Amino acid sequence: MIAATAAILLAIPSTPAIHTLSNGATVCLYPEQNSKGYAAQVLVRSGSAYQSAETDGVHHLIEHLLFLPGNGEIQATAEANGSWMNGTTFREVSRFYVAGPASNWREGLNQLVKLIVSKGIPEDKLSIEKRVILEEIAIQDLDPDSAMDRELWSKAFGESPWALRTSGSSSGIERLSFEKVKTALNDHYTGENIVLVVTGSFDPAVALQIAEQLNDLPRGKRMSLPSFPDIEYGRTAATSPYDTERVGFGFFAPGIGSSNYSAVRIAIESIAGRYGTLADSQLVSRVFFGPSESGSLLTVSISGKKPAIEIEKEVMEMLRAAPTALTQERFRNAKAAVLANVRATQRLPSAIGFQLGLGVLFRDPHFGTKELERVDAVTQEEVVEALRLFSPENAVVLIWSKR
Amino acid sequence: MSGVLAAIAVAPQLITFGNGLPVIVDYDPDSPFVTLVSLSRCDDQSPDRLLALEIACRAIMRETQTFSTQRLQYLSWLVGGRVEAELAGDTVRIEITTAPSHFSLAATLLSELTQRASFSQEALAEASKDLQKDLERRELMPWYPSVREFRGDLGVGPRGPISMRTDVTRALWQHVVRPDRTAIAIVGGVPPSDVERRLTSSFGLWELDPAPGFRIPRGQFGPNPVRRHATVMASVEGPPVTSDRFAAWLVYCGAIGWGAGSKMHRMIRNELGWAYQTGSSLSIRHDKSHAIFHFTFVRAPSFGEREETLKEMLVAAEQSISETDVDRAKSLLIGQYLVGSGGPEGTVPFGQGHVAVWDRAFWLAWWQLRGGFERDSSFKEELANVAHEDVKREARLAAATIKSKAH
Repeated sequence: MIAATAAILLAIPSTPAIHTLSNGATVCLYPEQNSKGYAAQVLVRSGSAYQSAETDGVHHLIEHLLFLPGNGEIQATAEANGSWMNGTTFREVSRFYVAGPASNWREGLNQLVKLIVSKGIPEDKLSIEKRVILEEIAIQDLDPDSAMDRELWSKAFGESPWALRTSGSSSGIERLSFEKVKTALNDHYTGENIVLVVTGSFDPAVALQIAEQLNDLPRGKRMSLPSFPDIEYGRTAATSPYDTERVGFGFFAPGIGSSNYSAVRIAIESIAGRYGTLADSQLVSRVFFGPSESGSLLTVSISGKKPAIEIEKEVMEMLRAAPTALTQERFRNAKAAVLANVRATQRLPSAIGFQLGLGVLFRDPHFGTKELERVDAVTQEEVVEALRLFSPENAVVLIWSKR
Repeated sequence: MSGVLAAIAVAPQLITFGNGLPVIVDYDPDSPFVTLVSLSRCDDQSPDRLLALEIACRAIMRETQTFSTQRLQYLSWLVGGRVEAELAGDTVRIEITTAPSHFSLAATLLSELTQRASFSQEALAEASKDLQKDLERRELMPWYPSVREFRGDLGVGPRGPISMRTDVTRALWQHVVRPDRTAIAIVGGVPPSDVERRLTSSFGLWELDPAPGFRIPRGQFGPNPVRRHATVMASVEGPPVTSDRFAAWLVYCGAIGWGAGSKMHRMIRNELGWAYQTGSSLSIRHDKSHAIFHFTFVRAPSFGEREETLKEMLVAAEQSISETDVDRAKSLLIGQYLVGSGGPEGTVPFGQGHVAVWDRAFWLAWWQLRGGFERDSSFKEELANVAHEDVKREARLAAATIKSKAH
């Protein structure tokens, strides 16, 4: 059944067309004319890893401020066109997207391009939007999984920009001046740092014409992510700041790149199922790509009814045994689960578009579009190799106990 | 290409069994999937019954009167795809999506789950714990438990004792999940003739047994999660979905609380900077509809002024909602109706689009329970035809029903 489904789905997409505009901006067009919807997104080489202590939170603040001219007029106009528009700031990229019914793609794309090209950030809204972000940060602080994730980055990366919080710290946001915001905006929102991806049902020729408005941006200088510092591996125990006990693992796995990403996904899935069995626990995992294909970080947060220290012991034992414990059945189940996830993603123009955009940034334009095929081709031996990357000796471990 | 597709498209067909159970079949020969969804209306049930149904949905995959846990899980594994059961707002939803070649097995599983679920004491206890944990894990959506509780206060959402008994759950299930309160929709790569042939012997023989009497036990209420945030909420009432006024009321809700261009988002977040999260939540009941508009914050010391501001905004809405507000809300609702992808409250009406077979199956069954599946295709026109004056009228009527809460 899986193979048959894969064949049908793979018959639909064509190869994405990638254009480079005269100012260096990249435009990736991936039409799927049977789709009922469309999605357009702009990925910008910006995010918390590009910051310093002095500019902590600036890219998140820019993401918010860009939507504010005219009291949110661009978003409201997109909605008046039957689409919805939003943005997210990550460590390595800022993402702006618009999505809606296929018939409305042209106006939605126009609004998205306008959002980026106008670079309109209203100075008189700075203090109000800082308040909104401080509320966002306060809500994130209620969530133990998010807090554990931040702590793991902080433990692993120390003073490096990679340890900075994606939303910014409260004090960082409060300190930011409008001048710092303008400087970061002008440095990062330039042709060399922009990737526009359009997916779903649309006319590629017209989309390219609209995309050419991005040429109004200066070429600018391509921004580079900072190198990863040496990771500070090890185990730290602390009193839990939340009601529950919790264990976090941060795996720095230098061998992960787009070439073995599919095998890694299956490896993680096979581990994830085992965590649930062992610890009666909640598992949250995030995979992250580094500055090149040289490394990735997986952070995992586990809570359960057992004391954190027992969960840690069980997980460590399980991880050591994982490469040899991968039975054919477990491999098959994990692969089927990942395939189901990929299939679900491929029906959503916004999800496939985001993957395509990341692929362009990572020099792998087939990342996303070929994922079903790649996952289907992964062998059990490749997953065993991937499991070896998640060695307990390469983990940053954080234990939150109640006492 | 679209002309070719249009030429072979077949309108959904309705099969009605002798017991009154409607089955809508939307055959899509190109689909690699088929979705079977059973929706049973519970929009007239009390909060404690809704909670009991919510727990029952979480317990349903444990065993049936025919299959042990192991056999049921094996059957589910054989079916593949996805199997879901939930209290989806105003309905009990059971959905199976699989390959057309597995349709017969999926029909067997759906028949077992709807007609012969066991609800052992152990399964119910596990489901209660599971629900409690789930509510406690909504830290990134702190508004959710608050809105849920307010809905319970208003009598339109689940609230009640968290421990349920097998006999009571079975009786309640039999009272709600029965042929005359249920609609089944099957969308995807299985033709109507195959559907009818396969379902006649299972769903066609589903008997309209009278449900035994039951009473939800008084008991311990689930502990409220510890709150470190404040949520300000205001509810308004609206007409039932069968009313000619419903589309206008929905547009009114959209103008106030849906999207970044809504009046609430622009005022509470963009102008005042009070909250990061603003939103709205619907309850579609058999006699009337309800909307709760809400926003959440952590850093402010008190919420009295903020509650008043929200209420004042709703009172002033008749005058303040402009034609532009109405046009934006209509377009956004139509867009969401076509390609929406759901939200944090599960598969609920007017959060879902019509992209996937499971979305389409949900909507066909949902409308069938509200007068006929044909309205699914005409509802976009209803929204498009709403006039500014209609929305102002709904704003005026809604203002007379405002109830608010903050904590």
